[in-house]
Amino acid sequence: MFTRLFVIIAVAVAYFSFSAIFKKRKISTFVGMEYLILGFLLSKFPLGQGLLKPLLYPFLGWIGLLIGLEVDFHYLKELPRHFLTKAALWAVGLTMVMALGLVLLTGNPMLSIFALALAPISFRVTSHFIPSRGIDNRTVLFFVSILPFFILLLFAGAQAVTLSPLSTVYMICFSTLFAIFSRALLSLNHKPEGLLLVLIGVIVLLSETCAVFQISPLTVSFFAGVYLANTCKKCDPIYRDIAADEKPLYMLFLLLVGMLSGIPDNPEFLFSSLSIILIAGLLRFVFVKVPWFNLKTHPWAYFMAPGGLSIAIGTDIWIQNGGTFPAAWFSSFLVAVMILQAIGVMAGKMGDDK
Amino acid sequence: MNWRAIGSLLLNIIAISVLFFLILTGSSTVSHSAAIAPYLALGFLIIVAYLTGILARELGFPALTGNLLAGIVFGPSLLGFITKSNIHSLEFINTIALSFIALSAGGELKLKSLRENASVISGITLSHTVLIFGGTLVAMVSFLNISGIQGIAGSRIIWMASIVLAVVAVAKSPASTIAVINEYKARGPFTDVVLGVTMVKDVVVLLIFAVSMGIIRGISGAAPFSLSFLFHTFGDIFLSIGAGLVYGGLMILFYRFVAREITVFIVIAAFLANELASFAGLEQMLMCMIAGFVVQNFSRQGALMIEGIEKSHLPIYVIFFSIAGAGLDFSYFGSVYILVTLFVLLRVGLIFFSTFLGAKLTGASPAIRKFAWTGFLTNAGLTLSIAIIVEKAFPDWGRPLKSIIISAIAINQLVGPVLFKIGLVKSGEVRPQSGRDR
Repeated sequence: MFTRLFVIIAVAVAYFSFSAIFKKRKISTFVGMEYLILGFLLSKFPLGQGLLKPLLYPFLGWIGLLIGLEVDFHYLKELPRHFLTKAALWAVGLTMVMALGLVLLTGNPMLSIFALALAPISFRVTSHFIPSRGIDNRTVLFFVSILPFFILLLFAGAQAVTLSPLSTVYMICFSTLFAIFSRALLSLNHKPEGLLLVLIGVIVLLSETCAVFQISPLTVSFFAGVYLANTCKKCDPIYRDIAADEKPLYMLFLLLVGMLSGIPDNPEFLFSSLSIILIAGLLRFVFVKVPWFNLKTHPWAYFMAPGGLSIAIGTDIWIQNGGTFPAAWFSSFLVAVMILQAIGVMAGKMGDDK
Repeated sequence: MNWRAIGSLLLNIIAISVLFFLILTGSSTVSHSAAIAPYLALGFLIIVAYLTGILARELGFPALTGNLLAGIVFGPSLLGFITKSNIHSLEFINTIALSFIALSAGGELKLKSLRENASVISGITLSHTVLIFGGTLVAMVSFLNISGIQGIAGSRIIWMASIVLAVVAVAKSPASTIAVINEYKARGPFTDVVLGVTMVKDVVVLLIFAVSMGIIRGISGAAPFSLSFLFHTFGDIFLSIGAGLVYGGLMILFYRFVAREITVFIVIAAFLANELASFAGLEQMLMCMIAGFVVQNFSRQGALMIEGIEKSHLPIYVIFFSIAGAGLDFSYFGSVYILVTLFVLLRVGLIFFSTFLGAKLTGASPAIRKFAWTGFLTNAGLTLSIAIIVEKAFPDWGRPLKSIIISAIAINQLVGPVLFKIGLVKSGEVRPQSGRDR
């Protein structure tokens, strides 16, 4: 009981002090990863981790829905074609090269499972450094903002290929059912807090259903979100509401991920972490320097941070395939994302200061 | 009444129930971790309880009655969508919610209004304690002697069981009272008196129970009557009050120097209070009520705390009351319905009479005299704890007694909030609202 009390106090103190410290240091974009570190530290305490694992699903469902709600087909149709091509090629190209690089460096084909999770670029970090003034800047920011859509599409496609046909059927059925059902529920007259409560209920039910049928909550809720964004007039307030509650939810998610994965102390973990950092860092750098993506005009460090989506995809892969590969791989992936995020924020800040 | 809205709500409730039934049926065909089931049930319960809450409001009932009904209908007593093991796993949410509700109760109480209504509050509390306890004891001893309930026979056991029922009759549920007050945003002397009596009675019931247990142990011969049990309870109460004062002080410091993310803070504060109380063996409800009271009355940050509470109370109430509803067990009702009905009716009568008398003797307003009794009918957590403690101490007669108490709680929880809402409206401290206001 004392352990639980200690953990709650630690989390509460961290929640209210971290952001203040980072704000003072003007590195607020690092916010999030510190909770992952706290989670790693707390993983050493016996907190009934096995019972906490089902809590990860609703967080993934929430992240998927949040991204899905941002996808408006009207905007996508009006976009110049090259935008979509660039984003699609970044997602596919970087994933494939990264997978190949990881296999070649580590000699372990299973580690390449995380390649797609290393492809996103953190919009929060990029938008922190690049002002939205000027057509060039806006183009870059737009590219970064539509990237998650393509990455999640690719993620869904990869699952359709690798999972059993029955799982794919489940994915399609639940995405459709929950999308239609959420739409009917949200069309009732609610006050904002009621709307949010319905959404919480839908996310929890949808995500835990995915857990039961061993399918991806991130993908299923992403498609439900896309459907809602394009058919439900009430999506704007929903988006506002869940976006407003983003910080505590992200904090809890990262804390849980850190607590459940833990940090192993063996050489294999160290080697795989270094391999992922090296390959992911190098390839992201190379891709940023490819003139066709139009990112070259800005310092490369701005595009190094993979962001929260990266951790969400990695977690989704881990909870679905947890039994088939060592937990140390997931920890290596998390450490790699954390270090890339730190490089992105620190190097970006240094570039900014100059 | 908006029949179109009612129809649409019913359709949605049926649709989500069918969907959940299909998921449950499908889930039995695939292997998955048992730890997932409670959260799956929670997702369903949140949606369905929220919808039944709005439906209840559309039909003129408090939303919490709808939440409770959703729990009862889909819980183990009826449809069985939510199993007993799910409820057991989700109980930790309820203990946290209870801290939150107690903080809210303390926060709603203003010292100025307490001072103004001190005589009425103490008059009603005293009259409740004496008349309800005495009346129930006499009536139950007589009834049990005449009727004879299986497992409760023999003069000593009848006396002991009647003492417990008398304590239960005095007890009430602060959570339901606060929920109805918050839902209808009731403000005024009537609300203050009901809240004040609720808060004071929480302490009084703990004391009466401690004395009663000492007497029961003496009667049963399990232990000679001793004052140590009473001293122990007094110690617990004083410690809880002290802890509440300190905790309230710490909350004030937060509101004064940090004052960010007040909604998140109040949830964390409730969570932490629950853990602290369990760790130190304190009375969780009392400690939180005092803490809320301190923030409201001994700082300028009371409004900030209430703002945080109001922003987050809907999910907490929906989850709390739906799980509480699912936990209500009606399976015993068939075997003890005569005694339960008699006990419930007797309790209502005694509450009405003692409230009226206490209010009249202390010169309370006509609204309080006529309608304040409606605020004292519900009983839940504390009453259930009493039943569980007695069952553990005296399993022979404690078990049948527990089934009687649980059945009575179920009825009181369903009827109490509805009557309290009527009382609030009649007192003029709330205006009737439609479900859309929720």
